[in-house]
Amino acid sequence: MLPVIADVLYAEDSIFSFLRLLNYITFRAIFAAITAFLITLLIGPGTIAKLRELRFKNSIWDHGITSEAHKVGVPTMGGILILVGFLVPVLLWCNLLNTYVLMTIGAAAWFGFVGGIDDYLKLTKGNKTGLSEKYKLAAQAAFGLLLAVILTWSVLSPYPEEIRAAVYVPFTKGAISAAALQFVLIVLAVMGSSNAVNMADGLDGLAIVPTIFVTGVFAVFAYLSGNVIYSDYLQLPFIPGAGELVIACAALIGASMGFLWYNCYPAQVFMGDLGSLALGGILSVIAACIKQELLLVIAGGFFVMEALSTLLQRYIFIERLGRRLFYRAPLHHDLQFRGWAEPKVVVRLWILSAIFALLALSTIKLR
Amino acid sequence: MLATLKQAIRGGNGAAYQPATRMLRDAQQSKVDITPSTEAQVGVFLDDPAWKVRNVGVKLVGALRLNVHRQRVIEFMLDQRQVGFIRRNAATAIGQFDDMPSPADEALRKALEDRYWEVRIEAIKALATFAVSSVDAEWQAGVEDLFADFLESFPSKSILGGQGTRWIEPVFEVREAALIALGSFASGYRALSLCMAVLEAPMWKLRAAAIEATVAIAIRGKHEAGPVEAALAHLDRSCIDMRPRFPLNQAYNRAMEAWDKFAPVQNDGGRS
Repeated sequence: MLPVIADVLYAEDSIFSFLRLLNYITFRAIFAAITAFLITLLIGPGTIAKLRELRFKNSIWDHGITSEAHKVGVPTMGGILILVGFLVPVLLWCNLLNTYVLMTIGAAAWFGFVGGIDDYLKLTKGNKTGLSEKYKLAAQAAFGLLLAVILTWSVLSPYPEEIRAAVYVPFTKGAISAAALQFVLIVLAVMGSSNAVNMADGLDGLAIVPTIFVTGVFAVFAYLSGNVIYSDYLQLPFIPGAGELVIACAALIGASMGFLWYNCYPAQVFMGDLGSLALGGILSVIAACIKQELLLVIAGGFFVMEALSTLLQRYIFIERLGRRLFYRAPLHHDLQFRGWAEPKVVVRLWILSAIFALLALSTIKLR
Repeated sequence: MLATLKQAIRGGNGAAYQPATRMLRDAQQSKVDITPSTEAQVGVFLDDPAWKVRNVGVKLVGALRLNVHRQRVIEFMLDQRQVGFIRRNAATAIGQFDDMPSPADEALRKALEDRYWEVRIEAIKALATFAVSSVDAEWQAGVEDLFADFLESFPSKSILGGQGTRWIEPVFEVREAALIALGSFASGYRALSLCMAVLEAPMWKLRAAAIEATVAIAIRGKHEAGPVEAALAHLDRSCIDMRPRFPLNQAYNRAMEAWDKFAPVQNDGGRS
């Protein structure tokens, strides 16, 4: 919104000349992050109190880990903090005529809505599993398909013609031209990312910090891809308008830091599916917009590990083979079961996710 | 391998899964009478082609202590074609009976070598349960030796006869179960010295189990106090786990405890 106002008011010799600052992506990104952090921080206490008043409280699953007992009664659906903290600065600091920004807002709204329904069913209807997996997957797939159609179908696609069907593989030069593969990758990225963040959200602060790292990686890639000189030098796809996503990334980082303020151990609020599905959805849309769907697997390696451990344990080993592969799943519960304290598990997995983020950043030069 | 693959492809719960789980829930709440028809029904579950139904059937045998199906459960425990959960639950079920005839004893010893770790744990627990109440000192000493093997190295074929290669039990939880089991009934010097050796284990969960086992065995066996005290004095008490203490929760629990004593009397008009 502010860039549009600046466009209208700006004149070199007027008192509004300072508005030229709004042309700089870095300036808007920094202030988007600060705004997001402050909004989340300020609305935090009131929101937590309201969630408590509405009795949107957590009930825990029994993983045989006694240190989890204190989590009973902590308000959940705190993802609303992240969503508000993200959306307000995006509306304020981003160019709202930018297609990529609109897609990101759409992802936040849609996945927040689906996650919100899921949480609501769990908390108010006494339904332990919430929205059935079938409906959740259908909602994710629907969004993924819509996004894939918009990004790859020539009439709607915001991409330049020459990169529309291109698939960029990390650590390799050039691109594979395969529209169908690009389409499938987008759908998989959306479904995989939202579910993976959801699965990783099991301990205080565990999912939010890796989200900050992954978002940071995509902010760098969005900046480089949106800049004709850097993208050419680094052999990244040049995507006009992608730089605007840096501001969305910064807003997400700011909102996540604000949420971490309340979610760090011992948590005062949990994000719930409302937050985790929305975070995963936003990340996947940003990755798809800058054509780095495959990089999501590296940058979000921690989320991939969490998701794989759950899927293998639950759907292959327990459901089909009638035995366990890990002591417990996801990975963080396995580590707790081995006798690691919750803060230790969380910090060590943060370190691991930072390493994955660095590895993803290294693909800028290693190709 | 082929059986496992077939199992994986087949999947599914089986039509009898819901009635079987309902019956198990009732059995756990002591709502099931043991009649010939109950026994026949459990027999049908045990014959079901779906592993999840057989699994519930095995649990029912233990929960209802159905002697008529005990041999079947023993066979399940040793049958490597059955999935890990069935073998594990079969070991648990055997431990739920009040007595342990010789076939069950032999089978549990064999189950200590099962390739799935949860089966080994349940076999240890079942044997320990009987060892605690056993009056046969020789048998008890044999089980003690068997568990001690888990802490030292595992003679893989000696239980089945003959000498095999020795290997270290790779799963910490099995070693932990062996320590707890030894602590519950053992008194021999070998068990004591092995437990004392585990006091230096890098994993704190093993050290924690070893502390209690060491002291229990030393007291039960009236062993010399000096070496035990020296070992405990040098114990590495650092630990990477901790339980948070929430003063508010503690205050709430204390208050509720007091309230629970007061409220029924008050609601009763002070009559009771």
